[in-house]
Amino acid sequence: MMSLVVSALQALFLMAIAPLITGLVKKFKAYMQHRRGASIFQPYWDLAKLLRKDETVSESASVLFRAIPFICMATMTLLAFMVPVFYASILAPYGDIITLVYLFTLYRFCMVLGGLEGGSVFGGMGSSREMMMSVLIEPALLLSLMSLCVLSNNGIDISEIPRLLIDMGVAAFCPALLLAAASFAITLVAENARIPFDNPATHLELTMVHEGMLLEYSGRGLAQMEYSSELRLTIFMAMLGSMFFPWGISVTLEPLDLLIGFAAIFAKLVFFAFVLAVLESSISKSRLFKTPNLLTASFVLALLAIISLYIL
Amino acid sequence: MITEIHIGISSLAEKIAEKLSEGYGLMCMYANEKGATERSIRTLLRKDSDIITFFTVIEGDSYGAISPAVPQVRPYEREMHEMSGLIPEGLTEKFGPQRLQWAYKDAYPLQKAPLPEERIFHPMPDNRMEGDGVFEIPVGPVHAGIIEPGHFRFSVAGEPILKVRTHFGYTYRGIEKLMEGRSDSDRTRLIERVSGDTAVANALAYAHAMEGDTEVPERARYLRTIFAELERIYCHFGDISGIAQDTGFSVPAVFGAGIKEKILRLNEIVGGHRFLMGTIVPGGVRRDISDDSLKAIQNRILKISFDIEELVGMMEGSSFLMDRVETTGILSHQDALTYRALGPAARASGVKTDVRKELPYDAYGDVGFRVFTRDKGDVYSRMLVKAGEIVESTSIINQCLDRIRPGPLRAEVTPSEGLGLGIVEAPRGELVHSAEIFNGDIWRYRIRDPSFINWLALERALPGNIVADFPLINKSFNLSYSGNDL
Repeated sequence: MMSLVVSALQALFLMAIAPLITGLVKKFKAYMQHRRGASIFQPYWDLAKLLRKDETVSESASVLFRAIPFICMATMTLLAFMVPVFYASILAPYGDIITLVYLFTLYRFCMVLGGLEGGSVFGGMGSSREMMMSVLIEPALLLSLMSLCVLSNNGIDISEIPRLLIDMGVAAFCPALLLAAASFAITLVAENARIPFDNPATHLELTMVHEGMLLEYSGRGLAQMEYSSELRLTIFMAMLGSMFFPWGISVTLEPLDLLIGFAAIFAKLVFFAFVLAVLESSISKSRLFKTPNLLTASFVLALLAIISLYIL
Repeated sequence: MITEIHIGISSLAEKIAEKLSEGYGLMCMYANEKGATERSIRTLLRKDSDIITFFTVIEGDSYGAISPAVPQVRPYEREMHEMSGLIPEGLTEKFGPQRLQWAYKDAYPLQKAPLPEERIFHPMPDNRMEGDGVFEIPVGPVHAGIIEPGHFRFSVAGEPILKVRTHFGYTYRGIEKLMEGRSDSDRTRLIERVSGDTAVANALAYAHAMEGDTEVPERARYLRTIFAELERIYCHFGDISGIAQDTGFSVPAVFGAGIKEKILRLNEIVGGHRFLMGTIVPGGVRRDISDDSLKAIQNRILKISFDIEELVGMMEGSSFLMDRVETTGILSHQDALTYRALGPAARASGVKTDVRKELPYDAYGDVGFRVFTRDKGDVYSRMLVKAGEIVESTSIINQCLDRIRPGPLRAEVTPSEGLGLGIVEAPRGELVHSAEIFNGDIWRYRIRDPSFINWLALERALPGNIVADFPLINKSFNLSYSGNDL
């Protein structure tokens, strides 16, 4: 019973800090540019502002247009319950790796449909570019998580991975883990539409991928979509922090262990936000048709991770 | 050296073609109203410092079209059609609106009679490309960022661009008409506002057009040169940091924008205005610059050539950025010549053209500088040309600061009668102001902004690139919408 409560709490924790993580990335980026930047709580105010605003819906949009923000948010909320954060157990124990990957895909699919619904060209362009990338993101994501399962000698159950990795001790620190983590890190950047794959801060409608699909959304719909993508970034970071590098996570329900787990994941999230900001400040957006090369690299890294498990 | 030749309309096309083959470039063409002068077409051609102007009287409102024989004439013919109501006969394709989507019924904006209230809708022609999988992407005139309004139509097959048509006119203010029948101080204020970041160049071209044979005092000539180069420096810094911005490379973008801001603040200290408006007047400059301010310029200029090196170094150090700017948006040498591309865009395509060298005005004859060219014609070349020009500009300013001596600032101007020409090298290229002056009054004022021509060059540079690279290519040209619309 206690386990269920803690598992629920950690999902709520993820949902609560999602805008904060985005705010942190923006703040770090501002510092790199010698700017003071907006407050790290700005994403919360933005969401509050959007929720108060009226929604404008394109005449060509069907009922799907309004349904999609709900589907996207529901998918992300479900995913928040499916990843371990500071306690090595999850509330949705029946969720496995495959479900996890395809919930992300469902989310992306809905967003693509939403981009097309508005009937504007930019939405359509964003959607077509997103589909081009997603074809390559999906196998890489699946494979990197799979190699984690093979490494921990586990089935495809998510909740067991952190515990098994910790039990392995130093032996877990093998090339396979690092390769899989590198592959996952690339998909994190790609999936969350960050530089070099997409520019989250761009004002150029012709270069947009993720933002292009959201152009037609406004008010509450936009708030939902924005929050979903903030949550997505946080979930990905939490996965990297608690599944690939689980050290620090609490495997017991002892309050002290939980506190350490909490501090560890928070530190990891802040660190990842910092690394992401450094990455985004030090390179420019790549040529659109060169992004498949990077994603292929991610896939190959994941493949090497699996191969290395069998030959090393 | 201006040679005026009166020729008939029947031989105009032939004469222009002949001069073009001799290496002359078509600077401008425009129509005059009947009244103080004849209903006529004025053609301006230039080869280095040698200027030829054809004055062609025409009967009625129609004439045999020139553009089928001389394609370069086309944008001017279109302009004369819309603004002056001249009808070219024998064209297979009808002109779409260039500036006015709501045209006047049986009237045209530059006519001397009052304009009617009634307007008729004159839609943009829909000459799209047809074919399997070819899509139309309309972009603008409202854009997602804070930029000027302009409408672009892309015909694309997936991502690659097949054809682009530009539709402008959203910032049309009728400046050419407003210039007529006004006092000199009104005109000076108006002309500085043609295009915000070309304030100095426009004021300078206007001053030259008005001055005629007036001898401008030496100190004023040096100060004008300093102002013009300061403008060029901040424009180019803005462009280079804009290229970084559009590729999402935020650190150099902010660095470049920061330097631009520092120069704008320097402008404010020196000239009292961030864009140096109100500094240049016909006959000289409006007010003196104190030695302290000159010292401030010198101190800032010292640092700028290092700053630009650092900025370009940062950008060249990123393989991602280099991958984006190299081979992107190539304006071929041949296209640059055919369309007579101007300024940095032409120089990046290997065309060595610079009014400052060819037709030295103000202090440019006294200072030494290099004309930067590159031959690839891509975004990277344009970036390098602009970076090189910043360094040359700092050297020009330093030379001016060394030579400047106290002296008078302003000479009495007696406006010349007839044709007054002002040709200067604006940050974007050759800027031509042409005034038809009769009895001290302006009868017709024509402004030919470099963007008017370079937009066509941009259209040529786009096909074959992908849609996602358009903003980057557009930024590397960085053309003015308001200068084009007037």
